[in-house]
Amino acid sequence: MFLSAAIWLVIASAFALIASIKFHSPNFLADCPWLTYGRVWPAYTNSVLYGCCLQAGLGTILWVFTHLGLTTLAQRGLVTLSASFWNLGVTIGVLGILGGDSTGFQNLEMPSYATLFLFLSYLLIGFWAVITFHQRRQRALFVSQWYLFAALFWFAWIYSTAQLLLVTFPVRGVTQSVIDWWYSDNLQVVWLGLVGLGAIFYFVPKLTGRPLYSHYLALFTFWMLILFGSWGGIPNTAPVPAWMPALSATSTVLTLLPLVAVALNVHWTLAGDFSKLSAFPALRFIVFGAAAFLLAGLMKIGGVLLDTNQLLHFTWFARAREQLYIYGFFAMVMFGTIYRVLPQLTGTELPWPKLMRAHFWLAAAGIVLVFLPLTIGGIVETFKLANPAIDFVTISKSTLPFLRVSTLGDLLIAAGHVLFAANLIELAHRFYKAKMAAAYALATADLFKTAEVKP
Amino acid sequence: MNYGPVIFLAAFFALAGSWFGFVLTPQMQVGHLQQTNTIPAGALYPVARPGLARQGLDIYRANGCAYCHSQQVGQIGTVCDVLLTDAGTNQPALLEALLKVRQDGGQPLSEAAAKQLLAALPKPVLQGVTKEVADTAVKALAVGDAKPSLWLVPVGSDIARGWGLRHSVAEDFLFDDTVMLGSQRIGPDLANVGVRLSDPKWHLLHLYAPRSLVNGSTMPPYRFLFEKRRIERAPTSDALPLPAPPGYEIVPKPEAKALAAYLASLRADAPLWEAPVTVPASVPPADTNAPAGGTAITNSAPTNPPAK
Amino acid sequence: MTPEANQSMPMTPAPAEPREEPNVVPVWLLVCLALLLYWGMVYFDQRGGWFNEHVYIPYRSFQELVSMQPSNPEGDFILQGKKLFHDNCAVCHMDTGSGNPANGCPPLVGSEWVAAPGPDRIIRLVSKGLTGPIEVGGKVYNTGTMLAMGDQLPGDEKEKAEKIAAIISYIRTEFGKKPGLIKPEHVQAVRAEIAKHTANFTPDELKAAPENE
Repeated sequence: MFLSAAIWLVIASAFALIASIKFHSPNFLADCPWLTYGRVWPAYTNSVLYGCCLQAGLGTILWVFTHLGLTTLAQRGLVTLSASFWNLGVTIGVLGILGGDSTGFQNLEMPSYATLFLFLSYLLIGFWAVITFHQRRQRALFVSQWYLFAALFWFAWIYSTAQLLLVTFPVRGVTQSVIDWWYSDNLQVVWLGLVGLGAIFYFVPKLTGRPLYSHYLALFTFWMLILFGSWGGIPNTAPVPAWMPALSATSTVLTLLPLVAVALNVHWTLAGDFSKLSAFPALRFIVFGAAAFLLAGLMKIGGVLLDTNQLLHFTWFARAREQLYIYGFFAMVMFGTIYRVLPQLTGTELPWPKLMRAHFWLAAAGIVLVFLPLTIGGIVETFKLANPAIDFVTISKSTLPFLRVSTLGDLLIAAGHVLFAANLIELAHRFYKAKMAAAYALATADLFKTAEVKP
Repeated sequence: MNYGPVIFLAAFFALAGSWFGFVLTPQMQVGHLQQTNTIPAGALYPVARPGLARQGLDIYRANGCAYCHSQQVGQIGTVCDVLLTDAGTNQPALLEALLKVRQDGGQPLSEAAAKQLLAALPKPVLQGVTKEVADTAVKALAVGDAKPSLWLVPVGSDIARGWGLRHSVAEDFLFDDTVMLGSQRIGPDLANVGVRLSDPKWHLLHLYAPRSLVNGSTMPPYRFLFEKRRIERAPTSDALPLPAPPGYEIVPKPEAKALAAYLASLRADAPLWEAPVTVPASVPPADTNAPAGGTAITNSAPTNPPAK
Repeated sequence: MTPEANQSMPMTPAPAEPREEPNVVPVWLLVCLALLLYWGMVYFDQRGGWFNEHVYIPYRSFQELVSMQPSNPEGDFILQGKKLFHDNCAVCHMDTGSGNPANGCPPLVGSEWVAAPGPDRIIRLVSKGLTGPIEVGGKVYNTGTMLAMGDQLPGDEKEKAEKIAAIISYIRTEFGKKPGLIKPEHVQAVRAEIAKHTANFTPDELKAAPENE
């Protein structure tokens, strides 16, 4: 499952790169309807979210459940089969989007013929994950299990609701938009947050060898995240009654609390002991992810409180925050997880550890180069948009330098992904080679033994 | 203690809360909206888009136009203007009333300037005040057949930029079966583009070659929505006024025509109860495509508001 | 199989599963929670429009939205007339304007007096009352007497005139199907003419007066 996540990531970064280049040279690949920006961008977001993030997240859930529960995964074969179905679903979905069948709903663009695969395979994987959890031999719970168990249930509900009410039996008018925003925010803030934080709270204590600072603080974060994180997402220009954006804004500001709690917990767990970061390169990814989680959360709160002109959420600021969150936080945490887990899972060492270090620096530099210029560009754009005397085309031209830098960032990120995928593919290759060799040795041992015995 | 069910219940109730708030309640409040009447004309609003424009919505969705263009107009407040169209028969009393009204409204005027103003009607005589002040001013200025009127003027950066007359409301999207609100403004907001650019031919040309109409635009050309066709007997009327190889013309495909029709039909400026605005006479009313003799189905807020 | 090349990272022994300590949540964080909740309530109170489905941003309350509606002086005047009719006239003539034939109250609906080209006869009738048989819509009503309801309205002459104007505007619009507002000044002028007439009018006296001024 992790391997497919890696491959999807490479594909996704290709899409992102194409999309990014189109901003400053609009004629790039313009004649191909399958690669027009309006189709490439949702293809990118869907491949990242469903192809990479959800798969990696599910893999993490399974790993943590088996390890903390001191048990093995129930029905491994079935789970692997479901993962293949998932991949099939995402492939069909992304191709469908490129072909023009997008549903038009943000983060839910995959056409319904693909989503059925996704939902069924999620149910299967989720169900067996719950069984694994139930069969655990270590009955006491660590906080990560709270997060990950809740996440399993969360996605099933939001995805089925969104699909039913938006695609199968569409509701009327702007109710569609409200449900779409609800789904999108719950997926990104709550699901990715729950799984990402679950991974952070598992790996930071484990790899540093120090205990997690506070069990209760982590539970406090859990409650605050699920209570307040699930109400965000509705912008203040939305054509809906005023109470919806007001509630959204209030709950977004209240998510300050889980942010602070996470910062405290991670900071006091590390307690300044940064030596482990060089001992375990995977830890670097995870701590970077925690920092990005904080920053992206603060950006969201700032964006809500300071948006008196009702313009900020339409600018690159919002896009920068989203990228920082999905990439800087979740993807980095997943990288750390995968780099840690996959060697242990397969019993094979990572083939090229130097590439892993290179990947970290490429990814870190890339993310900074993507989110920083877009944030600054977005803020500048807001001020300019507020002045009606400035022509829109002028404003759009002024954002181009920021976009060019962010394309460079996208390139670095894509390069990092290629290294990541290469490492993992080689690891898988060696694992299977070793497995086959062991099987061969087992099978032929008798042959040689009998030959030896006979005089 | 078996924590599994506890976690499940916690997640269930948290998600049930937000489901109730953002899925069920919007469906109850906004999901059952019917057509409403404009204020004060009482025309039916909104009317369903004509068939070609409805197909255009599908093309808009399939090509992901909403990832660059939003369709939401924002508004941060409403102020009132008082317009005087006729000075009436009692000029001296009107002058006195005007001076008093301007004094009370915090915008004092000299007598000479006031006389100049009255000579150059129709003109706004008081601008940017609250409704109470404007109501009093209208009553005070109604001396001797003078014709003062109160104009409700929404305020906001989108409105100042000419992207709309008032903020978007749920009624504007009643008949869109995929509501494409958009989330980013890499391109301009399109909620009222049918008012600014009502000619589908402009949109066709813009789709084919954006930079021929908007210098410096970053919009990609959508040439795949058009085809280069050999000229049969004479150039067709559809052909775009662009240079083509000799003997050929560039003709929009049905998808392009549908998309252009959809864009030309986008407007959200009708004055409604939830979005009061005074629409200038220069803005043509929305095309009434409703069948003749249709009965108006109102939602629960007619001209006389319910007692709450 | 040959062992892997030495460049690979040495496999560190898997660290033990993570532990956690039961440190308590800092009190100041809980205080922050309380403060933010309070702030949230104030914020929502100001901007939420109290879940009203008609209140959109930028309006903050239903009342504000109501006050922002374009004023409709005609409609408001007629509404005022309707209310006054209900309070003063509907006792006999009924809210539906169908009258009460048993008590001698003629109907207003379909009445040629109400739907006359001009309002002057009705202004006089309402001001000073009526005695005597009156033919309305082909039927004769002679068992009732109408009091001088107009004169009996509270307020000074100007206010009476305005109220009468409102009522008559209402009944002509609603029952006589002759929409339009009657001006209070007009009513005042007519009443000034008949100020000295103390007794009730009779139908003949009314018919003698000009129908429209």
